[in-house]
Amino acid sequence: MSTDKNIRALRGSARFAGATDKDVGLQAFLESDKRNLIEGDRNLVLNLQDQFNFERQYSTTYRLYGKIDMLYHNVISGETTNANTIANMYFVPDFRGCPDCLLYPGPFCGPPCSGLPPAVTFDMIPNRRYGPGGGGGIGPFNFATAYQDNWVLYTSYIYSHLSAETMQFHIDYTGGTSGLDFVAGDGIPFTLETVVIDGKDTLRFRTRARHGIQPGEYIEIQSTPTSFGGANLITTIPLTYTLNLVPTTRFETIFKIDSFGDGTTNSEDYVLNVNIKGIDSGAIPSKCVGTFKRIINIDNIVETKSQYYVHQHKLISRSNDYTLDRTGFEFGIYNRKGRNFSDKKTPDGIEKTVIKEEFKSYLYCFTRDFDAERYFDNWNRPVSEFYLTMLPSNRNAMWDYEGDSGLAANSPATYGWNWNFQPNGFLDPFIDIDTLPHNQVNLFQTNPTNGVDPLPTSGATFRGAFVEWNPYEIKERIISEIGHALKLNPSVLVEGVTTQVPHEKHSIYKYKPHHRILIRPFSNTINYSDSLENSPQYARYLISEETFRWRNQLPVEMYEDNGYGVSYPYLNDAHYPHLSVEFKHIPVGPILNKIEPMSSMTMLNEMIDVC
Amino acid sequence: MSVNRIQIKASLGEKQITIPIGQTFDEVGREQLIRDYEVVEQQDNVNIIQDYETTRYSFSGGSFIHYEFKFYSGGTYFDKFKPLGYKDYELAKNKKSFVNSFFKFDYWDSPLRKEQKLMFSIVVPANNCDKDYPAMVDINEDPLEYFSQLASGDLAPGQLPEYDIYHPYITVGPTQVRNEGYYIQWLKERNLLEIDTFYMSCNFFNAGTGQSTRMINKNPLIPSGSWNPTTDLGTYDYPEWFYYQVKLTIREGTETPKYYYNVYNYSNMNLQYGIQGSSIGTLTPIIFYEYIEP
Repeated sequence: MSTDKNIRALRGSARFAGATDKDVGLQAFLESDKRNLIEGDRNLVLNLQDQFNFERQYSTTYRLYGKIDMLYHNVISGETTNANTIANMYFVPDFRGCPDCLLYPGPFCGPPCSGLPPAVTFDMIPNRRYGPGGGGGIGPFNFATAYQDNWVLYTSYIYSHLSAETMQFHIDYTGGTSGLDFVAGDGIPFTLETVVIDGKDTLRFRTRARHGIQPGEYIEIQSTPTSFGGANLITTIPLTYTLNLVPTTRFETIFKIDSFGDGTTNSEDYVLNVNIKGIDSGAIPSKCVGTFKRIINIDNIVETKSQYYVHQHKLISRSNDYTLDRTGFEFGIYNRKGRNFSDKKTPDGIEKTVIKEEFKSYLYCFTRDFDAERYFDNWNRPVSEFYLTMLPSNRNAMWDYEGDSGLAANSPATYGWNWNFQPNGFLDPFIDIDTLPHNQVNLFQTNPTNGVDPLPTSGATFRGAFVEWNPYEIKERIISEIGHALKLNPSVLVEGVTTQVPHEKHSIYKYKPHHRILIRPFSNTINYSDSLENSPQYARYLISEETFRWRNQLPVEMYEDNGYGVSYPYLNDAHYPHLSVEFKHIPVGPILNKIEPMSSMTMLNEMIDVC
Repeated sequence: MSVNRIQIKASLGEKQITIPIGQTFDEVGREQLIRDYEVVEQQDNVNIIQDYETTRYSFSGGSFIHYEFKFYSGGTYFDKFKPLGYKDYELAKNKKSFVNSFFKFDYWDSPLRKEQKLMFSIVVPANNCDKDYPAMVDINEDPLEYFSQLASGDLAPGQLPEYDIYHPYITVGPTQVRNEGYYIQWLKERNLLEIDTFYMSCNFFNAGTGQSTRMINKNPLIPSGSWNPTTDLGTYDYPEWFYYQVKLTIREGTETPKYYYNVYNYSNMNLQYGIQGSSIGTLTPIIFYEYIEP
């Protein structure tokens, strides 16, 4: 249409007579970038490794398996007249045995006989009934169910937590016990003393569990616990100031930590030092106890003060949801120990061979699949770990139990935390089934006949670790794993009164019931978002920063610093996390005063050094 | 064209006519949608994940399962290995001719030979048999043992040397000593194969002769005189003679074991009427008889 003249456009009928009108079409060209689909452009290359990773990250099914190594030192001895126990026990002293008093009178003749329970007591799959008999509720021996005679395995997860869990912290075991009654929410128990460091008055807080305080952080002493016995509860520290020439006393509860440790190995994890001025003489008497909480930022106490509670585990498997077998060729790192007692060294005149210690290994495999999508933890996050929970079934009634029925239906296990299992030669009353018969380990369960008959099943709940949660770090820290205690049944062995083993009966074996199986750990890095839409449902809102904050779950084979992450096989559309457990029975109590210098208990001492 | 006259002024510039045709395309996210669609199609087509995990099924009848085998010689069945040509010293001294022998249990999906498929097999070594059958030491077979016992002075006056030999009776259980052949390893999930009933046949493989011996599920000579394998004509009917029925079960409750199997007698009557035979293996052993050519 480029022209320099005017153009007149007329209708057809106006051009000349007889002309007709006709439509004039104008073709408009529309620019288009469309192109034909070329075959192959939309094809996808199927890469086996990519496909494997895709399915692996998508799968939420877990099948748990692993190995259990038994590790113990059979040292808690006693005396008995029970015929079944005598027939199975390992006599002490072993070189003398327990000869018949009529034929071989002497200081070691019997019955009663003194000695140790046989090694089968610590087996996962005993090969016979070896208990005292008459214990009731244990039933006849059956090879098919023997793998549940001593221990039963479950899978559990942390479904909730409890701040109101009652605890005891003992500081004195002689002349009447003394200590602290508190609940988990009160924080970490401590003892307090004043010392002088570099000429400065210093408050020294001692804990029996790792305090978790970092340099520059604060502690706040709590007022809610109560003391008992001769212990003195510390809820505040009186400090005297001089303001405007007027002496003034203030009662402080929050202190900045100035240094850690008392000069001994690893003490920095258990000892806090606060340099202090103006402390009154006599303000800190002896036997001071209390609890404190950790504060990260003194300017934002509300959002940076830690919370304390006890995990609550819920079983998600039933008692028949696993298989257990001896390993074919593994026999532990220590030699099997036993002895043949000739007919002249047994009270019934029958020769016998008794194994005292044997360190077998077992393979377990859960036959139930666990879908992680179904479970959320105590902070409503996707579950990041399952637990292998091991509970005593006590079908041989070797361990003491309490209960109205008088049957071995009740669990023999008592529970406690680090401060209840100190290797100081005493048995903490909190874990002594004779002192506090609170053997119902799973008090959360409605069925009071817990633990043994019938065996716990899916849905039963149990106490767990003592934990610190800091809302600013949005992270849990395990302060102390829960420990269970087993004490020998008086029908099996009692405190010796006529022989050479007077006190060992009062000791207990400690074991750890819940063993962590990490499946999808949370990241070390905190993610932020200003809007809820861009945050996962478990994100937590921080008022001071006006942001939603959370930690992502790491995918399988995604590692952060120091190899932090998980990797396990993926097959059959399921993950196969593996956990090997060193299942330790740690002797605690007066037996620790009985250790001979050359005995192998030296090794066990090291194991429980920071119990 | 309803206008009468249109004047278009000439100008030096290009003229453009704007034609308002609605073509508001929303291309946002389309590529992503296509990509997602591709992934969905890909996953639907390239891969169906199947669960091949197996678990072990325990015998439900008690701590142990019992098998007994009888071998034919001279018109009679014996619960001994001797009819197969074994000498006592081979059975007493763990000779390779015996310990390398084995029983092979085949598990079929059907008792009808025309349609059956072999699902799995279990091999039980011959030395899983009980070795508690007393036998006199033959001076010609094992003179060393014979004179050793005589020289030991342990024999009572007039007592002849003897030792324990294997006899064809197997007891296996979930123990730490002898559990080979006790457990059946089979799929844990039934989505892949819904079958839960198998038909078990047995063969004995003789390492001494290299021959195998088929076994049948009942004594053809009983009732006495009803059938003479040396003169009577006819063939063995497979469902009637060759199988025991093995049924796998998964318990939904908390009883132990969760995965277990039972063994039942099986015959044409069970096949015809769908009746389950009597359960065996606990108090009554599972007995196999040597197959004799009709």
